[in-house]
Amino acid sequence: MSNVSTRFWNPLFARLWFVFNRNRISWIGVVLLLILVSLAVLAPVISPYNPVEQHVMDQFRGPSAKYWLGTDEYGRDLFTRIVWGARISLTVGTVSVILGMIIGSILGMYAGYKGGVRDEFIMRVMDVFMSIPTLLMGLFVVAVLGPSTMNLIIAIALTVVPRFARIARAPTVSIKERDYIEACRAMGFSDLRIMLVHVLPNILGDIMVMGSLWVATAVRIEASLSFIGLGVPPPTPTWGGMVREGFEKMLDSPGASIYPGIFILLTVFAFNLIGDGLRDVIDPRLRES
Amino acid sequence: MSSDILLRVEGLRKFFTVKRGFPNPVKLTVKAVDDVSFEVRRRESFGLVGESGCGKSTVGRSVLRLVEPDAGQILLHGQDILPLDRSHMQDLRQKMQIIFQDPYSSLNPRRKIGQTLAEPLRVHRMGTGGEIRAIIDRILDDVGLSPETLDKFPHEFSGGQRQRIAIARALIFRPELIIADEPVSALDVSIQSQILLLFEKLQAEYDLSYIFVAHDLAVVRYFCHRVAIMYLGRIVEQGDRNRLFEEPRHPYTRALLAASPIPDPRARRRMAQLEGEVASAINTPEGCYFHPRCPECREICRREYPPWHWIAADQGVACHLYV
Repeated sequence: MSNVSTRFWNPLFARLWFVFNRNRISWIGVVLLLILVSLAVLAPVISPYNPVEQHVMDQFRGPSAKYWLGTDEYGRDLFTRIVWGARISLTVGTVSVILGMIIGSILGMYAGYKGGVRDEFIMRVMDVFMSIPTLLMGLFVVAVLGPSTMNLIIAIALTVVPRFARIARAPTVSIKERDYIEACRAMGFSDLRIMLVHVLPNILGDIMVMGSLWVATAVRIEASLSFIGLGVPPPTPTWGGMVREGFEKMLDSPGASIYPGIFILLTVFAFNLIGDGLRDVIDPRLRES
Repeated sequence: MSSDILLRVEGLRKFFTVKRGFPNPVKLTVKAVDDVSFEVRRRESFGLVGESGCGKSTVGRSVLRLVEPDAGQILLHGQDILPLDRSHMQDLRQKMQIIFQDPYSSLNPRRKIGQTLAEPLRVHRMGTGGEIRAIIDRILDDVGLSPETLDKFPHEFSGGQRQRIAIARALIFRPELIIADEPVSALDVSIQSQILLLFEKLQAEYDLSYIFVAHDLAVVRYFCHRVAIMYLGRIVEQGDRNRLFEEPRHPYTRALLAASPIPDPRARRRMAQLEGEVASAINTPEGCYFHPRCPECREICRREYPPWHWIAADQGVACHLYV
């Protein structure tokens, strides 16, 4: 047994398995996310209608066998729209965070490794970015570039970049003082090689935890930007947009905005559970146990 | 004579500036290394001894240009390496390597030993996969590790074994000079002697010279051919091991020797007569840096830093007592 674990000893994944099994609640997050992702992937197969198809005779219907979760003010099937909206929400959430994660981590690692004036400059710019509220940033980007899914992703990525720059910089500063980095320099390795091969794998854990937690936030930001009309333009279904449309007729037909709201909640919940599990994985207090 | 000299360090200086205080920070200068000169001969172990913070590690790191000195010359085979650009320095890196004190932080915890040892050879394009494997196998054998080592991670080894791995990595280019920065002080005493014996064996097999940075006088006395004693960034005395330990001249050297324990319970010896604290390298005293603690302090010691003076061909001292 110990032989096997030694042979396949991959620090991150071995611990991932171990901690996720100890902290079973994070499995709920994994299962929930899998369900949501399969809904999004299988949208064309499982949805009974076309997401923009209007049934003028069936406005504001409650849940029934014909419309599983009811319909909105144009008689569009809510379940269909939620399933298709999952595609947009999950894509925007993950793509924007991955984009921000890559750019932010590179900047933070570079700043931390080089130090000095470059460090100061990069991190002060990051502080400026961080000081701009997300909605304002969204407003700005959409005003400049126009509303579209891509611009929504850019807007969210921009607000996420400085968080990852900070998260990447801090451990880099401490790792670069270790003797093995000095040994690398003594052997004439380039800075790029040292950063990619020797620093990055050691800070990746922190970055991934932050990433999973921020996907949850990004889904929420997407919803709120769509809610105030800065997101993906209608009639494309997005959760935030659906909440907004339903919100206007909240008293007549609460389902139209509550059901997509529940899905936003579930997604955020799933990513937070996963993030908490991941954080336990890299928590030094749980190491070696 | 000169062909016998591998490395010559001339007037090496490294000051660090630190800012202290808020809201009006004051720039302070730490004189980590100040006007240090010495030479290392072929197949020689040269000891650098001193209290912590005296700049001995900075000297070692400057020789490899891991820190850039402010002034001075570092001549390897008579060639000054400080003005060299990156690509020339790259070639020289194969001639000088370093071993660190803490074997727990000198190996990347996420890389297998095989990766750690192969990487420098790959980066310097020193052979095909098979050739690299042959070089590594040979060196593993020389440092007393089995080939299974290669598939393991650092956390699977003890401190002594890790230090052997670090030695193997330092040897991978077959360097001429190894800077050993307190290589045994983090190890158990029983392991220390094993590692020291390994250093000696490798010195013969690989024609190595060592700069051996240490604070343990017993280890230095056993291992080094010549020794330099440092105090607050300067060499106060250097010379042949036997002369230095039998006839220490500088009051600081004497105090150090008197303070180190002797393995004889009946031996009666005056314990250290040193008083006061080590002065800080930020606020070095006027005159001789050692004078506030020196039992033989004279008037001139308070005013002037003593010039370097060779008492004999193989022993020199910076002290007014011998001018």
